[in-house]
Amino acid sequence: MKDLRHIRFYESLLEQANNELVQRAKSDGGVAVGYTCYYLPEVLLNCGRAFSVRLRAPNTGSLDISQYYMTSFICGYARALFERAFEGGFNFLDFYASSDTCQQMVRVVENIHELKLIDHPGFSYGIIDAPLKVSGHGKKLYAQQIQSRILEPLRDRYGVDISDESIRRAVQEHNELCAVFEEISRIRKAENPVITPREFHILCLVSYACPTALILPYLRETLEELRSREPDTVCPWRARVVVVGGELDDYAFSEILENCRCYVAADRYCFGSFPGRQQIPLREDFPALEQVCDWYLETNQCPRFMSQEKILQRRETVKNLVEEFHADGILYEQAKFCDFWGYERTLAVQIMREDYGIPTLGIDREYVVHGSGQLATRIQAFMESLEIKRIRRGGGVA
Amino acid sequence: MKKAAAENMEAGTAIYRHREWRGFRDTAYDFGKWAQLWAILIRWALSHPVQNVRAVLRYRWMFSYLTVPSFFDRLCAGQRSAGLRAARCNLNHMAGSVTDTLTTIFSADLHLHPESRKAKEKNRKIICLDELVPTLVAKGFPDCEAVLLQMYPMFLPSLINQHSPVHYISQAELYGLPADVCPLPSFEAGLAIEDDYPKIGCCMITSNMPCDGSIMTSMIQDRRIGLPTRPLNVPLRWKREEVQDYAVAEILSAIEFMEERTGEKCDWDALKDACEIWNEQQLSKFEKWEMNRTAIPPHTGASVWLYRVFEHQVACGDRRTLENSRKVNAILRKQVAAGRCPKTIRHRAVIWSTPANNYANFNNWLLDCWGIESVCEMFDIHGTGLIDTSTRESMLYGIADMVETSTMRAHTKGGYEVMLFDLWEKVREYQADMIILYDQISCKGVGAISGLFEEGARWRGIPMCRVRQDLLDPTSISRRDMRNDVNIFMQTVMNETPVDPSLVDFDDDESW
Amino acid sequence: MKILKASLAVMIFLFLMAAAIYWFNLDTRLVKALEKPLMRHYDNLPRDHRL
Repeated sequence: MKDLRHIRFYESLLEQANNELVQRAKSDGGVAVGYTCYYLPEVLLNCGRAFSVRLRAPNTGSLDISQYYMTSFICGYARALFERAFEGGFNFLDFYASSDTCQQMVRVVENIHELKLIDHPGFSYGIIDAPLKVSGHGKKLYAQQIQSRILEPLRDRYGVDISDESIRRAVQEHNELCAVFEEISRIRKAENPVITPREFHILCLVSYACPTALILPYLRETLEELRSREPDTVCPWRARVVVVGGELDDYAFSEILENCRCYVAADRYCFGSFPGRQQIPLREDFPALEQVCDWYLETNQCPRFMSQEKILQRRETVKNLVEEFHADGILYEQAKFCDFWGYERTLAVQIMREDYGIPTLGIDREYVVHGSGQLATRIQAFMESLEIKRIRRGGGVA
Repeated sequence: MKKAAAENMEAGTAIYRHREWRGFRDTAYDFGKWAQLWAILIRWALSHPVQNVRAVLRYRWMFSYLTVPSFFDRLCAGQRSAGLRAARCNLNHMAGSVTDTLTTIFSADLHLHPESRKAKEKNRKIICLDELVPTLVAKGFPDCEAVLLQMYPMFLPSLINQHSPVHYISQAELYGLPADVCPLPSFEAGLAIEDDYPKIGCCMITSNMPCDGSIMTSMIQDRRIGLPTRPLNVPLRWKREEVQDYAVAEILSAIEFMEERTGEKCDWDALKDACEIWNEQQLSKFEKWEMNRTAIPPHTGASVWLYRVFEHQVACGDRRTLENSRKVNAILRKQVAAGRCPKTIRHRAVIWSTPANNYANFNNWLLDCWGIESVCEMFDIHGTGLIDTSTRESMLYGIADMVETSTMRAHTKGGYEVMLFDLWEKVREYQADMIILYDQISCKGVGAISGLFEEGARWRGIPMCRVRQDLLDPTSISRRDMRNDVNIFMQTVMNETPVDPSLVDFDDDESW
Repeated sequence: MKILKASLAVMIFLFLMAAAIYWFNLDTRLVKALEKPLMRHYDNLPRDHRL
């Protein structure tokens, strides 16, 4: 297929956190709000003149400094963020919105604060506490924490408009972005889709890493291209999978899958589109803040949620994605040393295989995935097994 | 302390060739307490002999309880006078409580009595709690028994016998659980996989305490235990005023759940009584801490934090435990008043972070080998609030605070400041001259601020010895490795010679 | 009187037994001897082993 017009531009945007669009937004008076987690409602970080930047540490090399401060048994993502902060890579941030929902991740911002790593006047941060199940009082806590620990500091320190109207405007813009992704996502359901896993992953990443208002026009153009893009004459994919897991901000992972001719039909991981790229419905008769917070709590797929309803929701969500996107199997991935996904992967691989009857593979990986031969080998083997199952079912060989 | 203590240990098993000679009076006292312990164990064994033998044969973890006399010996190693008496009183009291609870458990255990209507009936009044949820939350149900489900098959055996977790952790890892996760939740998961939890109770209250690993392991346990479950979610940022309403709502939700499952109504007066007993227990504890701030700290050693954990989690609001605590305080007070200090103290150390279950009596070794007295231990100083029982509302807020500051989470949660700044404060308060910092390699929450400890200690000029450990997995870091970290520090940084050279290095890999 | 003497003798005997067990750590050694056979027993128990 012909390359997408903006793909090189998108790749360049992902080379550093303080990319061209972030710099443009800042020079236009924007307030850069860094965050890492779905527990921080992305749309609320884009109210008024604030814009969200979901933090990554691209081109991470050695992690020697973070190893000293954080030990080597900490998740690679947390250590990479710390290392990048130490190097000055996040000095553009005005505010770091964090949550005490992952004990490793929250320590990143605590280290940043204690060691004064963000060399930026007026830098501040907020940490929310969040419930582990969806209940009436839990929703109340969540909304209250977002209000007092994130929105009010943004208003008081940076003059960000956090009014109900401002939130509704941010939701509107967010929904426009999500509408683009919902359509691109539907393209993935085709037998021979016109978007590759790597491309989709890149699009997703830029939508998180760049100011919404500035990246949206490019994404709209990309959608236009995709509407008329011709697929390859022969479908290259051996099998289709749903990728499920934690933080995954390195599109080299999707490249490895592509090289194994494995098609990522749906992406249920952090920095992915499920959840995160679905339009948020808002009623007029209810405060927007509470509706948004409820939405994020209800749709959150973090394994941290302990209630039976949420545990079941996670399984059912994956099953529904498999059905909706015609996947042959599931790939559970986790970053090494992630406690949440270490357990979730162990349990879910067993459950999805045995209870739901869906072929499932579980893998762990380093934060930087590039060049992982071991990963490729495991994916290859999984592809072969999926192919064989497909043949036995009476389907063709790709 | 008689020197050359290690020469009294058999190589490998570290079994004492003979029990410790502590002078005539202390040895006679120790003998009496040992006999009392055996009386407790024999009474328990004979109370339901068939049932108890079946329990020992059914559950691998029950073997550890057979080694309790040896465990108590280790916890009292090197102790004299008030320290010895306090330790033995506390430990024997715990033994009594644990054996009573084991009787409750095994009488209702459907693994042991699968067809028994009597056992099924008993289970209707047993409420299972996650081990980090203090039983205080269930004290409003005096006709029910609250059992900390993981305490008896997991936590206590891991302290008593360092090898007890190994089999269960490997079962969890067989299913793909990564080896880097904390071994405590791994052990819990392994128990569930092997179906080695007693089959008891009408309901279970799980919790997110103390950490991410514990949150996740509860899902594996839920699957196998199969009881109706309600998570009691405790705020992470517990120091914030604004989260307390949520904490109280969660307690109320848990109480409502227990009412629903047991068919009993919460007796708020009984709960109030228990809270008031707890307050007295707290005051008793504060007095112990006050005595340890003096130049002759009387109440130190491993049994101190173990009793605190027991008191906070299991025996909160229990009158008999309060009476024991008061008795012990009287013993300690007498020694402090007399100005006696029957031990060689070269250093007053604050011991920080989670201790290693697989080396429960590490404190004793620190003192006996290098003269390092653990005057203050993080694991001992959690939960300092008193509960205002004047109204139901204030009582609930007090209970919420007590739950929020439970074992292992009062410092590891609440923000890094709680763990870091409190350390410097305790060093000052207890006039400590060094820090022993446990570096639990699989504890992500604490590991992630490890550099801040280093820099803080260096900046303040406080010698800090980092002791690596893996909580309760002796196969990754052994007791010998832990001792070696201290040995190297004391020899190269502090330039000291040991109080007892025989204890510097010895083989106890096979020891319980 | 005879019963008293006999009781006293038994009590002294029991006391000395207990003291010997205590001093020579015989209780620990007994449990140690039980360890291997019990572990073998646990290893051979049928289990409902699953996730």
